[in-house]
Amino acid sequence: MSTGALHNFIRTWRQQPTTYFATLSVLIGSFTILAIALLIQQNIERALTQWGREVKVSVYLSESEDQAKSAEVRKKIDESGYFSKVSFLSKGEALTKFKTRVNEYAPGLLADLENDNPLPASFEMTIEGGVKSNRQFQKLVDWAKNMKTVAGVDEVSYGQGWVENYASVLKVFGFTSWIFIFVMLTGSLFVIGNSIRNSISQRRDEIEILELFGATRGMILWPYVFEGLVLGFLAALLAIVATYLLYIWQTDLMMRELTFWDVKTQVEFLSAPRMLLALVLGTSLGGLGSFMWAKNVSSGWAAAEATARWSD
Amino acid sequence: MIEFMHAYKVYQGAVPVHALKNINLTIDKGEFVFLTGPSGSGKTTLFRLLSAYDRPSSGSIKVLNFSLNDLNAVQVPTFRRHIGVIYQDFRLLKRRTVFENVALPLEVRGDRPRQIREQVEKIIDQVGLFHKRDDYPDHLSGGEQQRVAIARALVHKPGVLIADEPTGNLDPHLAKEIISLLDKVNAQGTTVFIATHDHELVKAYSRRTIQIADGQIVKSS
Repeated sequence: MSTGALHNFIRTWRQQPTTYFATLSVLIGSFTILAIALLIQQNIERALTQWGREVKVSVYLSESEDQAKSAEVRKKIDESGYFSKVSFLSKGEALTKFKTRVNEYAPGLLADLENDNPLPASFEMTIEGGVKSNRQFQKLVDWAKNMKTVAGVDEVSYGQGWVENYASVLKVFGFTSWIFIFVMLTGSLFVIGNSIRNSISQRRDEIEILELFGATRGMILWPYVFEGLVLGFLAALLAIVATYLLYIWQTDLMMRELTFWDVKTQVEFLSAPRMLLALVLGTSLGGLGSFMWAKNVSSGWAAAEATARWSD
Repeated sequence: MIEFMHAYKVYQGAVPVHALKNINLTIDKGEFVFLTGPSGSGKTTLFRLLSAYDRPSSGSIKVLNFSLNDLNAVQVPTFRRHIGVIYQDFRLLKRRTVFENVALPLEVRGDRPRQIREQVEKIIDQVGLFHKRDDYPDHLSGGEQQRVAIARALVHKPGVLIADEPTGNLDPHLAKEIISLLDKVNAQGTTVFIATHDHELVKAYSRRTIQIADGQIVKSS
């Protein structure tokens, strides 16, 4: 069945080269914009992930240093499986650290701290894998809220203001990029659908004849869906090539113009999974677009219905 | 084999056209029957109903073991694979070669490529078009297109062969050859039902003849 569909596709392509070339060009254009969007998304996500890795969480213990309670808090932190590099900072260590930092700027302040150390002991840790999504941020907020109720814990800090802003950026960026991808995909769906609809109207007689000789709906429909799948795949593949050429051109240009910025190490081309995603999306979109427009192509009585229309 | 019972066909419109009126007809398995009548008498409409190309407005039609009134979307293709139809306007696929056109019923049936090639080449040879098997219909004369249509209708050895003016575009010599070919097919057990207004041809073959006029059967011998 696929050999027949491929044969049919090649024949159609040869007989209507202009139509196919136009459709393929528009699709390559749309998919290239889409691939560029994926490229931008990938690199922003990479930068955000880098920032997300820098989120540090501190659990401050109550004034009274109780080793049993401190061990209990440590156990809770470890049990969460959420953190890496957990370190304990005693009151004394906190004071030493504080002194080191403040000494340069305000040495007078330190005199009062010699006899009265107000700094609490704490656990400091980083989040395993960093905060990459809004969901992970929410998980952190919930964990911090729960942790504050644990006996011996005075305060949980994760740079709330900064992380909240960062989470908002993640949320807006995720939402915007998906909206953009959705709009581009819908547009492409219509381009493919239009091409297939054109193909169907040019082959209306052929469909009737196929019906009259006993072709099933699937047999009639499949060549159109196949056509869409091939168009989608080819367009996605060529769009990736076009995006790669654009990437090389732009990064080379920036390397020449902005010598201080090592753009090639900071802006990466689409990763293999993203390229695969683009190919799968393009191919599926082609098949889906064709199916949507061709699904009613044959009712088994197309010829009869056409006759009824003519006689009306 | 073929049975019409009180079949009517009305084309709706500003003025409804009663194309067929109360058709009652039975054709047994293995018969060779001519359907004659002037242009516009209802021959083509009758054949359209017979090939499930169209549905009757009322009455019932049975062909082979299929009740055409009750065919659903899944059964229609199955029925059509059991019959062979030669259309007056040939209905050839312009984007396919002679070979590919003739192969269509076998492809649709899911035959193997080797089997298809053997059967198609054999029938194309029988209708005298072997040398044109790779040509496209637009490059053929009317008579040649007619022969391609005939080969396509016969290639899958149908139980019933319905032909609407199969010799209409052929010279008398070729027309006789084609009817002889259909005669051979009939001798092998296929029921053949031919619409024609070629009275000479009908006379030459003394077979059962049904005459239709103004949408009604007026004579059945």
